[in-house]
Amino acid sequence: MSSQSKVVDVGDYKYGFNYPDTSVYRTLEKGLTEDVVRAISEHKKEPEWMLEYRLQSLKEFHRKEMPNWGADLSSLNFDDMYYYATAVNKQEKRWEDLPDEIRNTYDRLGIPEAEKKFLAGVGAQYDSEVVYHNIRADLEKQGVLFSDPETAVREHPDIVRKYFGTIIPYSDNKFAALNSAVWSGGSFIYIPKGIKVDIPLQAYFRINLQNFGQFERTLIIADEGAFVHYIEGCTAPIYTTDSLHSAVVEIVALKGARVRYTTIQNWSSDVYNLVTKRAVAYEGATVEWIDGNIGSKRTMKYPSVWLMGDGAHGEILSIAFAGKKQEQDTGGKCIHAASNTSSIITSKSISKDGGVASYRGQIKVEPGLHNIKSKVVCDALIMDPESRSNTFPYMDILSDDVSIEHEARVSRISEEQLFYLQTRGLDEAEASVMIVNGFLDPLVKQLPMEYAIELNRLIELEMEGSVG
Amino acid sequence: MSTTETRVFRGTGDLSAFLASRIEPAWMRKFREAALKRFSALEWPTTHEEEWRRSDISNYDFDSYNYGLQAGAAVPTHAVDAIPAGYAGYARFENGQCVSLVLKPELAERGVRLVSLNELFSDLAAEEAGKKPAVGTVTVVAASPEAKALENLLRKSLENVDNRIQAWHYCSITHGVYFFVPSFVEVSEPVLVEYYGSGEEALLVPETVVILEKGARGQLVQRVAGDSDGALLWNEASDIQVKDAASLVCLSVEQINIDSSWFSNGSSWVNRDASLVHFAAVFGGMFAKNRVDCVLDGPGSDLRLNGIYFGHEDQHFDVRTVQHHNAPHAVSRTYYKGAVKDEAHAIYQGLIQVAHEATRTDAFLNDKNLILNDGARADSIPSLQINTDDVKCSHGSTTGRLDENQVFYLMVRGYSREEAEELLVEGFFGDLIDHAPEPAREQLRGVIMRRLLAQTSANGENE
Repeated sequence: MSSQSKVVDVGDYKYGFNYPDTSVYRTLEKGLTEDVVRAISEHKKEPEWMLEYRLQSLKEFHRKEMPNWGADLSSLNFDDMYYYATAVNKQEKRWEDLPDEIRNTYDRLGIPEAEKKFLAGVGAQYDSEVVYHNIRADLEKQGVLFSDPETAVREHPDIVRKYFGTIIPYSDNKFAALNSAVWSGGSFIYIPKGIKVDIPLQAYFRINLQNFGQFERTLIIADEGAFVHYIEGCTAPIYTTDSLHSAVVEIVALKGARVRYTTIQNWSSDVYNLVTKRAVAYEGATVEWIDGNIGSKRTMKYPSVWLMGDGAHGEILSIAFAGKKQEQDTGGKCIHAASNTSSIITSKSISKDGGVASYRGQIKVEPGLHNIKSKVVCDALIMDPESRSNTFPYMDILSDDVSIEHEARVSRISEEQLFYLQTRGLDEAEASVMIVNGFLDPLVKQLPMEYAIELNRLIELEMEGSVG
Repeated sequence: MSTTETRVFRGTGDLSAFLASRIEPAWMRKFREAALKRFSALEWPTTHEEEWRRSDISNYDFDSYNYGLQAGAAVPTHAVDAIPAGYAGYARFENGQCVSLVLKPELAERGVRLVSLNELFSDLAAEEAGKKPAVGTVTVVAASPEAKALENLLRKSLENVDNRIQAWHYCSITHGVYFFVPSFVEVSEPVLVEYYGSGEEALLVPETVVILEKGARGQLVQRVAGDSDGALLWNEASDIQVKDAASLVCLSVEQINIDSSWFSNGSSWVNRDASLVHFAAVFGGMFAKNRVDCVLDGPGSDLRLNGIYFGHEDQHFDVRTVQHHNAPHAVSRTYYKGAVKDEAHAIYQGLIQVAHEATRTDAFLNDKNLILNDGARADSIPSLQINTDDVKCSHGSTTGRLDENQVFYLMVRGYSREEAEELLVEGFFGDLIDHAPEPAREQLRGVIMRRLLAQTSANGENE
């Protein structure tokens, strides 16, 4: 552990992250053309149907308009971007090249050595197979498929073709179309009938593979009665030189299955994070999204659950932390398309140093349904007068046998709470951190323990210097 | 008293001719021209705009409506009607013509004004032209504080315009009322303003202006109603200013017939330590877009927005409230309740907007919807936009049907299912109606009960 007295402000990556560009695919030009898409597909040695799909998506991307709502995306320039670079260049980075501050941050968050290097994109020096060998062997024994989507396209085309792009069609929105055209990396998970995976699956387990891509694509299928908890990302900052991250995550929870998907997103502060996440829950199935957004410049992300079968349940927990120059436009959607379904959306946001945190969500109940229950609760904390908080919940209710509740609150840390804690001997900074941690507690509780600890420490870091 | 126009105008293309035909003081002419300019610069709202996303007006041909004083008949003299019991004054307009205008004489003596806008404008125009008005008819002269206040408030409201319907209203006002209460005068009973419309393809553009000077107190009840047949287009606005430490209670009941359409806008300003209780009741029209836009403009101002809406048949209601906190230490509360039956669709959009300067804001918003049968629809969209930290803002919204347990409880006590449901709906709206001005409460309850019991039929609400 490095010296505790050193102030590390991860809310503001002032040191930047300018690695020398050593990309091996320099031959691919900037901008998005059919040639780029063909080159990606060819490099991945994809079957014809996937190439067709990519080309269709590209056409749709050019046709679709930018969203005219949400975060300000006016400075995004699609022509000034690389759409494909392999992980090879990232693996060429060396741990020693990382600035001290970042290494200290990792240390203070208490991240294991292997994962630290993985996060920093220097994983190649570390043999993950050794560390996670046993976990992988157990999964294989159960028949669980866990790979990157490229491998799945090659080895399990039957499953992939059945579900890929069915939950989020490429025509869904401009960024889904973009991802469908140029996707690369991500995860593919298939859990066979009745199998309950008792440890959370994490991308760490596949450390040598390409994981945190710019246009990652994740497909999770939980067969009847299966259970899986997948964890994407991590609380520690992830460094990337890409200015746009646009992922697509599709989840299918078949009859009686349960899928929990946890994301802690902490991109560096110059990244546009525009992600489409959607799950379908069939009869008696449960889907839970736990979605934490701490980093990035602009995030637009609304994980959604389509409740397609009787008794399905959807739950979305969303945390957003908007610091200096950040705009977190997040929330959740639950579409009730079957009777006896229920959903809960809980959102907690904190805005600080001029950041903007917006909750944007939707509850929709299709006509002719019975016994629908939905509850949406949004809490926002504003840390200073320069910061902003917005709440935009939409509710479209087309059936009468429903019970829909929504509530939202916006406030700052109350003087009384601060005073109370100070009379108990804490200084103002400690008291503030404690109150903020308490504010987030209902969500932090839902995280696996090591993540919860990391998140608490991260909030502590983010809060440093905010009082005084 | 004079007949200002005899011509019938048709469509927005006739607006310039309409403006030219008006007998009005120079400032009002300039005001209308400015509004016409805004109108020309704006496009009709489309479903691409968030506020209009669920209310499509692209089917309307706004150029197919007639306006102006069609009949051109002489306006009846004052005091044709007695003031209804419980009220302090009464103004009634039929198809844009003032048929009754009475105010208790003791109030007029103390400087309270309840005047027809057309009459006021033609008086001011005559004064400008140097003509001596007939003795006893002048109520407002150009130099009076009430005339100045009216001019200022209209200008301010025009600045607040953000869509074409609103700009259209200000350039095409056909009639209206001005209610003015001078400093520290208390009007303890409400004044009643009635706008009545009938006929086909007519556009009626009433404007209600309410100004309460410092420390004044007043109440106003406005009813808009129409015949059971005929498709009218109403483009109404109420502009309200409650100055420092004044207090206003305002009820607006919309009960037009079911074939007509309703647009209501306008702005309200609540100044330092002043209080405004605004109550909106929306019942009529096949399409009703009702917006209540309030600015808490002074420290310590207090706003309460109450509202009820009850849609049936295939009515489309779009109700919007805005609590705009512009000043610190202000308090606002919104309570809206709506019910829908048959195929009706109600949309409620409520916004709490807190400016950077408005520290120590305490704002709350609550919307409750009752869906009475399958096929009816209610959308509730409360939102918050907070630009500073030291605030307490929250909102809540519920949508559901009658609680079966409550129905069961009442049935155990001997009520039939229908009776039980009636009682519960009455109770649902009851706590809000209790906050309406006294003389209007019974009437509101009546409308709700009749609507609840009404079988689906071709007839709209009428009384």
